[in-house]
Amino acid sequence: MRRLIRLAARLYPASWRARYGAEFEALLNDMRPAWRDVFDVVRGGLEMQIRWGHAARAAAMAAGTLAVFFSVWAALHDIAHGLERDYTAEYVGLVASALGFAFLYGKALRGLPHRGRLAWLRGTGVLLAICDIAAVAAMVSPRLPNDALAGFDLPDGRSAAGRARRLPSHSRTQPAAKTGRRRYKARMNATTLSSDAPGWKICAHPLLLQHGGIFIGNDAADHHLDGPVMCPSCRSSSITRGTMAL
Amino acid sequence: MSDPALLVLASLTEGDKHGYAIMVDVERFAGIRMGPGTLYGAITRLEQRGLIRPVPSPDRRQPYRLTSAGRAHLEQEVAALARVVRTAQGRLRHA
Repeated sequence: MRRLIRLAARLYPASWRARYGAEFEALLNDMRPAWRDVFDVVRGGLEMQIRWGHAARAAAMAAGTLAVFFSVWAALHDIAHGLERDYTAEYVGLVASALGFAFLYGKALRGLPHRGRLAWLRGTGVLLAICDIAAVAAMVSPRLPNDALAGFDLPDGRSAAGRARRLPSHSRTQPAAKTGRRRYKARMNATTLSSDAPGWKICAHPLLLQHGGIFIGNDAADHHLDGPVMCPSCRSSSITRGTMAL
Repeated sequence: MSDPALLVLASLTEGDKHGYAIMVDVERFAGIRMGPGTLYGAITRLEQRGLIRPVPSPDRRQPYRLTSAGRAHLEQEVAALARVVRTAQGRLRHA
């Protein structure tokens, strides 16, 4: 934890660190740091960048940090809810994130030794940048047209994982993702509108329907369906109106 | 009274203290745990305004002392807070 706070303390302006760095280090040695102290020091670094006449740098750091949080949050939100929307904001977020990272982590990691126990930290900036870009890439990855999202609960974690792995081979769509303790979801194609429930779709792909019993949480795992169905019990918070089937 | 600067000033009225001693004292008398960034943000602002000043120290722990300007500032702030407290108490009694 202290290492992390020391790393965050590098966000402070060099002039501030020259004046207060030694006593700040002494404080860190005396206290028992907690996770919230990391954020406290990051916030303090931004504040000092502004107060010590580096407003532009502080703005870049804040923009980069916010862009990272926004893009990761948006990716997770999008994946969790299966939303389809305009991704312009995410592309902007990606560019802002890249710029923010270039400055934020370049500054934070400046001065770290090339060798020694802390040298590995030099890679964290790159790793975080890759995570951010991956999050945005996941968000903007092409969606199958007319797709549907199926949610399913399985009582046994191992069984659920095995079935989740098999799911893509049947659905030929995106891999099933674990979204909760027992809940998995996968995106499927071949849906059609339901006249019984306007706005909802029915999954009509035979291969999918053959394994419909797996997908529907309240049904037995060996229960196979052989016709188009729409399952009311599949309505849940993770399944959005207009995209749900099966 | 949750302004970190005021808490630091209030702590230093008792005598010279370094950062960790201020942090512990504030937690004891105000029940507020200041993070290191918050504490040193307040110390930096107070020193820039001349309300506290560093005291020579043999080790890396840097003690700070309340200046006369700092004491006057604290008295003003405490008086203002006391007025607010008195007003609120009076109104609560009649509410």
